[in-house]
Amino acid sequence: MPGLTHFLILAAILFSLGIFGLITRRNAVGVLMSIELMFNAVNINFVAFSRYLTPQYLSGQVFSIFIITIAAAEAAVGLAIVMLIYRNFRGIEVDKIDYMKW
Amino acid sequence: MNLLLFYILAAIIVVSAILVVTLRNVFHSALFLVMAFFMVAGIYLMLNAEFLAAVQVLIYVGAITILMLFAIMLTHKIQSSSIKQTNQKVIPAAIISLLFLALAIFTITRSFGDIPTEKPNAGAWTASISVKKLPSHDKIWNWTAVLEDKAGKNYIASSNLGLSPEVPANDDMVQPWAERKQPSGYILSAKADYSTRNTLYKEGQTIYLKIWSQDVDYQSITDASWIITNINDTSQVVKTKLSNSNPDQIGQLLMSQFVLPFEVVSVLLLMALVGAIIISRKDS
Repeated sequence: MPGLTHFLILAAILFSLGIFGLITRRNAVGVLMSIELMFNAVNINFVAFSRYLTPQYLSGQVFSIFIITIAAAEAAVGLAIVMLIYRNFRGIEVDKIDYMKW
Repeated sequence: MNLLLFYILAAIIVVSAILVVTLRNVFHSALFLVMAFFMVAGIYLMLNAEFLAAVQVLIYVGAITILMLFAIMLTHKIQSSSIKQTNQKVIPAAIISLLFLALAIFTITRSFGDIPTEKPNAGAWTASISVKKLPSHDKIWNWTAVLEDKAGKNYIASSNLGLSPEVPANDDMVQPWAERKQPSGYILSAKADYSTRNTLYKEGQTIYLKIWSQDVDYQSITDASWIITNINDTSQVVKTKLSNSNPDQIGQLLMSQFVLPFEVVSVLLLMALVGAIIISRKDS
């Protein structure tokens, strides 16, 4: 049976891949996908801690449910913003959207 | 076996995540994101979080990635692979993420490297309560509660609960009788149901016991009942399977301790969806 550190290291790898994608992607949808990867890493951490440190008390899994809910809300709002940006700028490259820079 | 399964799942997750952040075609990245989410659901199953695995497949695979595929297809120009998908910050980003990974692995191995192997899972336990009438006393019974796992090994030592037939002084129908700190860190306690005053221990009477541990915050993990078939029984063993399935426990937590965050997050989700509709309307 894998130990706690196995899951934590898997989550750390997933989170750093999310950071990499977050910085390098030019596509706004790609940025959102990287953020979803990072959410998943955090969820794995919560569930692994809940399983290994407090196996009787599932508050870690409840927190994961809240995080999934927030991720759904974030994806909905983020993709709505992406659609609006696409309508206004004819493209969703995040480095071309510098409307609020002076 | 489990370790091999974990490594297979982890390898698929990591490879899919690498493809998600590096592929030129965003549509293909979204499909690999689906693959990674499925495998994360498998990881949840390995961690005995069955409800969360189902929620993961439903919400992440079924809703979020489908929403992203819709957004990719509606913004059709971006899915041609001729457009460069990464900016000039690839090398700094790689350095930053590798530094973060090294720091995280260092911290994890330093902090959690000595966590012992997994604790027993409550879902696999069987509670057995044996009742014994002591020969010296006419009406004093000795209750023993043992929690054992699937293999029949006693994870938690038995606890002797003396139960006297007198009705307790307060009017509570349920009276805690014994709490004993166990070497494994759990507290076993039992409650007897005094639903019938002064007529205790008749034949055919049902006696209810609750067994719970301190770790579940005084939340009952099992209810056991025992029917006296013969008043002259000297010993009888009740065996009951613990009914704490994963969705059951999560539902109890969401409806008791986390009810306010649950309501707040539902309002937040409603607000986010209304906001998304308002943002993406044509005439806004």
